Amino acid sequence: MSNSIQSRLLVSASFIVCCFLGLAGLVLDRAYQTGAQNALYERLQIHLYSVLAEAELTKNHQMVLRSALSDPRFRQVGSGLYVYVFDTNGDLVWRSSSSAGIDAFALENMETGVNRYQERRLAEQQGVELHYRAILESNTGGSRAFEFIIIESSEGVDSQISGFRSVLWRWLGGVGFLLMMAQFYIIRKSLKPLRLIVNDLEDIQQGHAQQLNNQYSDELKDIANTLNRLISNERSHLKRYRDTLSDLAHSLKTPLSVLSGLYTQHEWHKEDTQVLKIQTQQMRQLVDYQLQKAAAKGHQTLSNPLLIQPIVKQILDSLQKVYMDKNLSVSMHIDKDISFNAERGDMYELFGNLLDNAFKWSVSRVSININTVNGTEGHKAGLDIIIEDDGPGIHADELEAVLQRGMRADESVNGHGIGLAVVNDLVELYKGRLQSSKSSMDGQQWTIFLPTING
Amino acid sequence: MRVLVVEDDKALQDQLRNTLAKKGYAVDVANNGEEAIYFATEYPIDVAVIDLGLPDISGLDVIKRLRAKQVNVPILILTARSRWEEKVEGLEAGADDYLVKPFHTEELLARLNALIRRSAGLASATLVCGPIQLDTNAQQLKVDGVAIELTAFEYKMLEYMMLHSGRVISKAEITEHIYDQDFDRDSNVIEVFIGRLRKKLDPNAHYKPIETLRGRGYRFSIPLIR
Repeated sequence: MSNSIQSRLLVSASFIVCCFLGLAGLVLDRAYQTGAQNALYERLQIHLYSVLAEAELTKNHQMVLRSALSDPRFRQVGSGLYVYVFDTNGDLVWRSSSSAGIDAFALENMETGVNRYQERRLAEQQGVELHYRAILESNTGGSRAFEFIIIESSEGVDSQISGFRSVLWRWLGGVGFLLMMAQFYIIRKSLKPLRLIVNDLEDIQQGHAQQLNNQYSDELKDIANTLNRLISNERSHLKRYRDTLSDLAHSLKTPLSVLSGLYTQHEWHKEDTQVLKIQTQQMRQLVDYQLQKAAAKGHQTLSNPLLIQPIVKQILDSLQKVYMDKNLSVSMHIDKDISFNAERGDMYELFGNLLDNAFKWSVSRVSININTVNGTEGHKAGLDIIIEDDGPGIHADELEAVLQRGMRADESVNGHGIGLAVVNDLVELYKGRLQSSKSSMDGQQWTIFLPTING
Repeated sequence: MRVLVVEDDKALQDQLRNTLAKKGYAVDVANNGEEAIYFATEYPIDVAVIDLGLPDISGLDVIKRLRAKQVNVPILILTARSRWEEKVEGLEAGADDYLVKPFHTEELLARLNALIRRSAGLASATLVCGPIQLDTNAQQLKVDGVAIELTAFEYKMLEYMMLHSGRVISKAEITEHIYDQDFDRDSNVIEVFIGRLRKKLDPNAHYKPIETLRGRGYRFSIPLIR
């Protein structure tokens, strides 16, 4: 059996409906059959009375019928209604003219005044015979016992029963089908809140929602509340871990600064200061890289789409202040209303690191272009970001090392901090693409595509 | 040059004080934001190094308040937070540069140097006044292409005078910008240093770069090439 509640309910409820309807059908069928049989017995009884009413004992102790029997079927051969009269010796005394070709036999040990019914097989049909022993008295006071046998074919009853049966099962089948449909509908409807809660949980998982907000049925409210508490607990745990991690990392930085300051001390041994230098540099990079990584959050659809242009503008203004000496000409082409679903800090990291790198290496010019890409077949919608400078550029051989910086924490590529590794991680987090090439200004060009997430 | 260091961590504070002093800075140290604002408004500082994580007022607020009080000295932020959002915030609040902890001392010195130059309107790290060239990064003096050794104090004094060439600088001003607070202002140390500088810069009394203006102070008479 499948594991879904719906199919379980459906299968077990269907099973019960089938059992119930089947049993009801059997009981009704049996009741109808018994009723029909009793009606047949009653008819036999009536026929018997009509025969007894006409039977008379003559003076010489012979049984005669005063007049012809009223039911015409007694006179028509093969009509399905027959009468036989036997004396106590088992000799046939009288038989109805309908009984030609069909024989009946007296029973032994018959008591007087008792009905005895028997199934029997007639020529081509099933019948029921009623045996009754009666004592007839003559006018003269003599008496003699006779056994009356009335046989009626049960053909009519059988066809009646089978007719009833087919109607009965057809109706029960119809009712069963309707019940099943109703049940399916009811189950679907009753389980709808569950489906809703599952969808909502998926939304939370994908970051479209923060909490279970829907109005659920009373039974699910508790679960929803508990889940909400669990989710917010989990979130605050995560936040606490993140904060603790970040606090730890940040609090390490001041002592690391002091250590870094030590290796300028000239009275120290050169090898010692070298070891100190390398070790503190590694610690510093590890701390930085892990911090950035922990802080990256990824797509957030809950937050309103973020306007990109003001962020880039802010970073450019700041960088122009820092690199004031270089007197760079900076061009920015970003539509004011370009927005993107992302965490604010992530965008600052992305543009901050890339632009800082461009400012640092460029000789006279830096440019940034951002365009939205409309989704077409085979191409996702998103942001196209191109950042160019006229500096020396990054050689293809160095690229890998620069982008993987944080993981290796080495100083093999001078002049590039962990910034570009952070950018690389962020682009991955946003499921985007990062490409490095030679810019039209003969320097470094970064081409980045960040896809919009669906939903 | 007089630098204000605002840092609450004792070890780093001491280290910064020593390193900067060794490199010829007059160093004032503030332990918290209130002290920082006091020093920056009451003392003639040339540059400030401010840690953003201060115990009382945040470094950002210190910067904002200083800028609101028209204190326009260049400010270098020291921060453990390396997120760009925070850097941008600091620069927008009025800082001129940032340095993320942990940092190399050389880098701090280079940045301070650059900020001081920049506030004097210079792009190059080498100050040039006629035949006199002072490389502020290497702290090296060349006169007519010949390297000349300077003591830390001599260097400080020369740098300050070259940066303010053409302007009359009083003895008190030199003292304020070059010595820590506990310097004995009545001594004639300044005159002695000026005398030594003159000998080193111009042994043959050919250029006469430093004029004495009686009762007013000194003037570096060769204009600085900007």
